[in-house]
Amino acid sequence: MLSYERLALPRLASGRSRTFRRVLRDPLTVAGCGIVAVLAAVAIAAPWLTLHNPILIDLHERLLPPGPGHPLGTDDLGRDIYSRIIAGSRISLQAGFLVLIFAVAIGTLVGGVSGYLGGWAEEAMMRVTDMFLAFPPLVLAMAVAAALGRGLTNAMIAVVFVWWPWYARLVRSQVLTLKEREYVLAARAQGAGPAKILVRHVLPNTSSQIVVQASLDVGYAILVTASLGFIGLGAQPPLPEWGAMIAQGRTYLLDDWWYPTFPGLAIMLTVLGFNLIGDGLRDALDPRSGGGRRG
Amino acid sequence: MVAKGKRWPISILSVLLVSLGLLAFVGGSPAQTRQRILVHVDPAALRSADPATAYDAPSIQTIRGVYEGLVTYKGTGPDIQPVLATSWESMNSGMVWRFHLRRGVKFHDGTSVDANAVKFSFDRFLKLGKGGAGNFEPFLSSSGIRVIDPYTVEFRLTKAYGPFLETMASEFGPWIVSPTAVRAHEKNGDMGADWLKDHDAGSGPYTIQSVTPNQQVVMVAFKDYWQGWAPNNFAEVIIRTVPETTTRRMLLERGDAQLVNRPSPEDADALKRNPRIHVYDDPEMRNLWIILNTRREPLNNKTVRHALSYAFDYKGFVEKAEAGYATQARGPIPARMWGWDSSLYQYSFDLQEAKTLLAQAGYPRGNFSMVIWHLTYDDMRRAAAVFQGGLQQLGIDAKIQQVTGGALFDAINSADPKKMPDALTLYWIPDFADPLNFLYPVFATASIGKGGYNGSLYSNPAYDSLIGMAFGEPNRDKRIAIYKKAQEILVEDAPHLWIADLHNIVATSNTVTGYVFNPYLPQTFNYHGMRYKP
Amino acid sequence: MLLRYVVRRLLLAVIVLLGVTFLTFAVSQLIPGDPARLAAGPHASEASVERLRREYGLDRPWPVQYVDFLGRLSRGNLGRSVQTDRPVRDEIGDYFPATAELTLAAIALACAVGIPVGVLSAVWRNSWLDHSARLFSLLGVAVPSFWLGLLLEFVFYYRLGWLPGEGRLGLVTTAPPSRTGLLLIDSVIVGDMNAFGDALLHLVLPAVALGYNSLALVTRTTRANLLEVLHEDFVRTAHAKGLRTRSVIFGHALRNALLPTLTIIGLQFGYLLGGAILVETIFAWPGIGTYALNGILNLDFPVILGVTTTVTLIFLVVNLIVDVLYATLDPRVRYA
Repeated sequence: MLSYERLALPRLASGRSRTFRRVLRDPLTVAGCGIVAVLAAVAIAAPWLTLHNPILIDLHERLLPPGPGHPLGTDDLGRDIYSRIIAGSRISLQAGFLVLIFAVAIGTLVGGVSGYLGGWAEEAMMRVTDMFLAFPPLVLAMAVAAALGRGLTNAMIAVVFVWWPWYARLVRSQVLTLKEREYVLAARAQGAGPAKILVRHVLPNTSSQIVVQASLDVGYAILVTASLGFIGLGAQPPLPEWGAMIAQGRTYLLDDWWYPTFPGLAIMLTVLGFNLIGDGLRDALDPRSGGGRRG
Repeated sequence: MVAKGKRWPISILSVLLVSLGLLAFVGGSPAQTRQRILVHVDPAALRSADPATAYDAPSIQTIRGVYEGLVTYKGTGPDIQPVLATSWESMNSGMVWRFHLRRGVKFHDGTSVDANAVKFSFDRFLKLGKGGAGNFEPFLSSSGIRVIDPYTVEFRLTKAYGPFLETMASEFGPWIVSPTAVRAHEKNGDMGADWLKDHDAGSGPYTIQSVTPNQQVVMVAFKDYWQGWAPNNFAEVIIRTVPETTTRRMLLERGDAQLVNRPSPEDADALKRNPRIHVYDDPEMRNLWIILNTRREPLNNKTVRHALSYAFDYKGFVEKAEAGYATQARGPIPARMWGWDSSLYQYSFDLQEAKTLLAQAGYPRGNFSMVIWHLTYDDMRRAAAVFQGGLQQLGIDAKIQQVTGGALFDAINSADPKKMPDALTLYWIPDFADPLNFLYPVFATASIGKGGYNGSLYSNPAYDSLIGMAFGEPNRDKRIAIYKKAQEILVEDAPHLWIADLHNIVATSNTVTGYVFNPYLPQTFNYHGMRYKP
Repeated sequence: MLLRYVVRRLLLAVIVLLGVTFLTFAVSQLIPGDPARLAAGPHASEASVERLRREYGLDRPWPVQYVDFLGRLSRGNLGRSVQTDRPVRDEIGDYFPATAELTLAAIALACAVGIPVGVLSAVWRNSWLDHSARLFSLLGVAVPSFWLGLLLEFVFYYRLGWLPGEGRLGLVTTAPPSRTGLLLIDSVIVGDMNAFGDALLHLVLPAVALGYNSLALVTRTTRANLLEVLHEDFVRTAHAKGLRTRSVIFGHALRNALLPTLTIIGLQFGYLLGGAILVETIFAWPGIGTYALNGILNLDFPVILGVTTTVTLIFLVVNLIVDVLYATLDPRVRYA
């Protein structure tokens, strides 16, 4: 087994309704759900929540400290930081979710198929997966983003490149375990084709693991996208992406501290929220947790 | 024996105590030894100290400290001053130049600076063919450089070239190296290129003591320097690479650095309020343009370009976005450059006029879109944003894209109007002190595509022949007259928006005096002229 | 057999490395721009640019360039940087130790603080220590390292002056002769405690900025794993046999709990190598991160290829070591 596989040792899923109640019992998880819910609401309602146009510049209002009219201050082109953070929530959430959806989809496909087929097909696919996993994540993301050209979409593609192998491994090890289960063998005996078996029997049982991992990863995906934005390879000005805002604001840290600070807090809060949810889900889905949180 | 349960807290405590102890031990660093050391923090690192091939600012900063040319620019202006050459004369209407060398000057390795060294240096420079060599290749070849006697060198040009002296004073390439040192460190016929990357073979006031890549360059005073030393000259100059602007400012304010290059405009304002810091603010030869793609619809229409020229908030940009550390440009050449014409027309921010012109051109409500490129620099980013703001008010949908230098160069060199954006922001800094270095490489037809920098794809035969005349004209006044006409043509044709002349901002501790900014030696410093003031 | 496991992993690593170089090569070919023109500068003549192009073999078709690259790689030659014309191998040798030292410091911090705190947190579950530790680590995995770095520098250097603001050593300190490139080790070797102390002080802020994420992760993982193990049967059996709690914890449970933590550390190494890029810029740390970023932005193909290959190789080696360690400690793994 390779190191990444060890982390994906399967755990048994418990009943759905019990899970839900367990999730709600823990205050930290509830807090996480709260944060993410607020974030989602903000992102959806963004156009109504902004006080000023997040993109339009107003040179007469530049670098104002937090105060009336500009609760979080303004940036070097006079744009309201609060409005930009609100608008940026859309960008970050979209980036996080889209990246994960694609990473999970590709990863599941590769992992599921390779796990089920076995033999040389599995070996080949897993070697390719290893290749991607061998890259230090940010270096790969940077190289791909630079190759594709600067921009948010390309940055997201780059992050998908980095992320999908984890899900491939996760799904594959799950498939390997479940392949020999009775209901699968029974379905095979009944003549069901591989696709049907995968979709109807194997994958639903891996879903809880994927959901846990994915909910943890949304936050990290947002963080990596912000890192790319910080370097300048992600979302391009004048888009109010949080990482890019920190990058532009860093020269103003000493006199206009609000400029780089608030976007940083936004990132932190978002990642925190998703982490709390992911943790909560993982604890709830693991029967050995003894009802308490794992931290 | 310590009980098992108490092991962890004790080990943590001991680690903490040891660390505190170390902190106290290393505590303060002696301030006295620092007095005659100048610490200069710069955003980028030295790439190569080879004077013949280096082209980037941090490398030239070091090179200017350890090498000398035949001539240089005097004080703050474009006038020429003797250095290794004491006098010169030109013959055959500028086709032949003779330089008489200063006697008694020694290289750092002890050998003498003589005519052979000059010929050797220029031969090497031309043979390596990189960096600033491109400025010399049009009019000079090795066979034209002759040693007349040990202290006289003759340059025979291959074609008439007006700005010859100005180019000889440029900081990109024509430095004199010690043939002995270079030959001694030659490897596989590289003409010493490898060794010269982090060592020097110069005659200048300082000599390279060490180069730590991406970190610092340490230069120490050359005792036998021919110009001599004053008691409070700096004995050592350390150029430290610190990419983060905020960190550089912190270092200056805490006294860990004494010279900071290019603080941001806001930092400059804050530093001005600090009584222990002096801020130098000089207009420099660097200007900012927005280049328009003259082969793309509808920008190929001059009236549209005029309209766009009225759509930029010049005053707002200069006063607010650049916090006053820039001046609105008037024409294609910076105001400080000789040959600049003060009577040129200057566009202003006038949306009414812009709308009228657009209507005239057939775009009454705008209704077209544009893509604006810019590099990572803050002022380019702001200029693009300001332009976008103005365009939006005209009904023109403008998208901004930040691109790498690579992509930009690629597009410009391709000369393909489809590969280029509608607009792009660009700085221009001249390699030598003549408007020709603005007017030819950027606006001549011959400069379109590879080897040139004509990003607007502007092509005007009348302009080309005018500039061609300036090329061979040795008389400065006549050149000024030609340049005036050329500038007028460009302002009328508006292939660019002339945004701003930028300022060179440098901040030093009050303990440092003597910094003189010469705009023709951009981004470098006169270390030998600087003094420590207690 | 452990040996077979190691050999098999090595072979896999080689294949993976080859694949990585191919992928990097392909990707870097896609980056727009002309590296020769960039290196020569805007005023250079077309002839100079052509010369540069030929010198670096950039005018050959890319499969040929790739084969050349592989050939050179097998001889340990990574080519020359287009920007500086120095051998990439030398440059990596110059910059890598700085990043390695920073990364190791970050990991050391993560383990030295993370493991004890995680253990205590698990043992004294639901105490105030546990709650604060969990809060601390929750924040830790969420904070962006570059943002944290700026803030740390602002508070501890600018405002308080307690720690230095940039670089690996102060200006008045002479660096010890370079043996490993790791200043802490080099200074101890020659007994230069002044340099040691100075280097240590310079390491603090960047290591904390970089390592805080890992520290938080290690804390959480240690705590989670230890909790899990403490409920296992064999622990309860040991308890029933009358062994004292402490010896149970340190003797049996900890060893089993630390195994997944070991995995995390191995993986974090890769993340840290990459994440160092962000922290390096802020603290003017002359490491491989800024070198790689400049290479990417300036289309310096030899640099891009060289750095990716080297860093990936190191990452593979580190993970191999971690896997082998794990295999020696946990026999179940070897037969998988």
